[in-house]
Amino acid sequence: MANYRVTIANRTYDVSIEDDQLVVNGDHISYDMDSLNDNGLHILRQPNRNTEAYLEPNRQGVYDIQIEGNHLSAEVLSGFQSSSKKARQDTGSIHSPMPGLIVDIMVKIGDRVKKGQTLLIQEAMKMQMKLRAPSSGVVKSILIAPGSQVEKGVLLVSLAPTG
Amino acid sequence: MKLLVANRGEIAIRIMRTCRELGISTVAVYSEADQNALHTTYADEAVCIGAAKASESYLNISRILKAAQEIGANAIHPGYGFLSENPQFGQAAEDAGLIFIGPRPETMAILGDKLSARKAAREAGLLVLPGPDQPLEDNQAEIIIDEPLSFPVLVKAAAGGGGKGIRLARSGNELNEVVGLAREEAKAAFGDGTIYLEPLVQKARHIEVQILGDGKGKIICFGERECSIQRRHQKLIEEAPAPSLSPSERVCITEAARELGRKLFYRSLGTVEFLMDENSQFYFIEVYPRIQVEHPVTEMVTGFDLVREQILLAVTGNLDLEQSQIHFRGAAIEARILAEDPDENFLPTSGEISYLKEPGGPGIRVDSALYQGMAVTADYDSLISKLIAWGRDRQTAIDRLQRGLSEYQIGGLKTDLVFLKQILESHPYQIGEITTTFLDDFTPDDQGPAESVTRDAAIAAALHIHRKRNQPVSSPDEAGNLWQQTAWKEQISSGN
Repeated sequence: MANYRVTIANRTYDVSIEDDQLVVNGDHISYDMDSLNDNGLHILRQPNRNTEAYLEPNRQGVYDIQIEGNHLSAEVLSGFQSSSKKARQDTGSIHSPMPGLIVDIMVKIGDRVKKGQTLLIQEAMKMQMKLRAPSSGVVKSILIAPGSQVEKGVLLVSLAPTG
Repeated sequence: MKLLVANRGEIAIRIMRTCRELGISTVAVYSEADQNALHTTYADEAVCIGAAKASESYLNISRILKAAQEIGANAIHPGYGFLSENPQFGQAAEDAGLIFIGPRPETMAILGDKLSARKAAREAGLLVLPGPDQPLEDNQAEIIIDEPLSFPVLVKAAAGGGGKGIRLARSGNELNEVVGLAREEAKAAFGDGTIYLEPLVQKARHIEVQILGDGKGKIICFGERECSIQRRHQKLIEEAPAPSLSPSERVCITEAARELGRKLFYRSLGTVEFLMDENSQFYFIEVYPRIQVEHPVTEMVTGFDLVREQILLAVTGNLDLEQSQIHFRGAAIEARILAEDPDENFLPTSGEISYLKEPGGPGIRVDSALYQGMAVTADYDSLISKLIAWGRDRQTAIDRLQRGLSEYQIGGLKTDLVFLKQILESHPYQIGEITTTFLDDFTPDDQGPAESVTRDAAIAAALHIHRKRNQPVSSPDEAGNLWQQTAWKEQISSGN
């Protein structure tokens, strides 16, 4: 028996799967799913109802799901995963919010910065964005140089809290 | 007849589709980033014109003209964006003996400079937004303007278009802050950092008029479009007819556009753009001397193929159409599908299209260049597809567009599909209460997805992860390879 806790749009579903048996929030239900291709397209079958779902793995344990015109994000926790998994709430670092070019860096290591202060300027699709400090602090490290092309989610600058 | 399309993406394919119907052979040009793009395969011939960077390919006049000459093209269609508003391009094409499908270069020069365009409109008797008619001085740290300014103002690129290089300033301090960014954006997008100021019209509606001129003073008007739903001054949802116009206002605005067209002896397709304020006073803002992104809504309500009319006019030099032949039927709405994340302030997204299912059925039109396996990169504009719906009235068009957006499935990157649906669902949109600031304080009336839907999704996710864990192979990649190898072996053996 494997147990999963799935959270979607602030709703929680406890799903138990054993062989062909499926229990959702205590209800035994008849359910089957086929994979239609390698790209994540599935068909769900239950009595008198077929539903198409497109499942795309996002990061570990998270799926983006397109189903009946809805785009949902599902977080799956299971017995295999530690329950200590917490969202990373690191306010001292600035990641690139989009792929693009780092046009300018306004700070240097050791600078004291205020919350909301512009640290870098990034450009993508001819649009320039100011990247601001999420909190006040001291610039601990700068991991890119002006003119570098970065992917989304790359750590650019990290801040240390002011003493 | 051989026509080269100096563009990419959905508009390149849109133009080639009409060419195919007319029996005109087509040439695509493409950058190294686009070597697998759909427009290269749709065209009869395709020529690589340079590196991914637009300035080395789609903005490079000499490379495009060289390609045209080497392949023996006799006409060029510029599409929208890129070189479409560049008078040097039109001039160089005509000098090379090619038919340029667009306005005369001198008209483009007048309209391309937004400041001289304002002057031309004023001379044609149109009401123009007040504001200094001279550009802001270059490299000026502090802005000094002779006349007192009433804030808020918009800082706009004189060479602008497509909403790029526009910044809002609510005070002198903000103005000083945004001027540098606006200039940089203008320089990056148009190669010209000239900027100017224009007062912000509050609660404005964006209404534009589609004209087609024969270059000799005859102007046919294909009605108006309303494009008030904008984010970052870029249109997101457009419709025809404008729901807010009374019949007399419609006559006023379309006649004003025709008058400007006549005064300019306008040739080819053009769009005259206006802002309409709370008191239904409309002000000229600019003319787009080219096909517009949102032209399909006009085609849906008039039944005309605007690109076809544009090409035939350019080839024959004659406009065999009369205003009395233009009739309007029903309503059409276009939604722009963007590679942008509405939850993250419309930041561009990129990725490979892993899954694609396009909508269909009554009244639906899809203008797109997407295909499964396509890599969407940050190299070019974020517009990846357009979904257009027609209905016998506005409500039917809205219902159909909502249905189409629900049917549309794009996997592999985040898009604005859900956001577009939320706009259409909202009460103000449904009753036609739309202004250019609509999205600034838009909050979806979000009841969230139905419980049965999240339940299905939860089961699907749990089953998927469960099966992946219980697969005999250790990683999904290996599973894929194994499957491919097996399939390949089976194919070989069945072939024998």
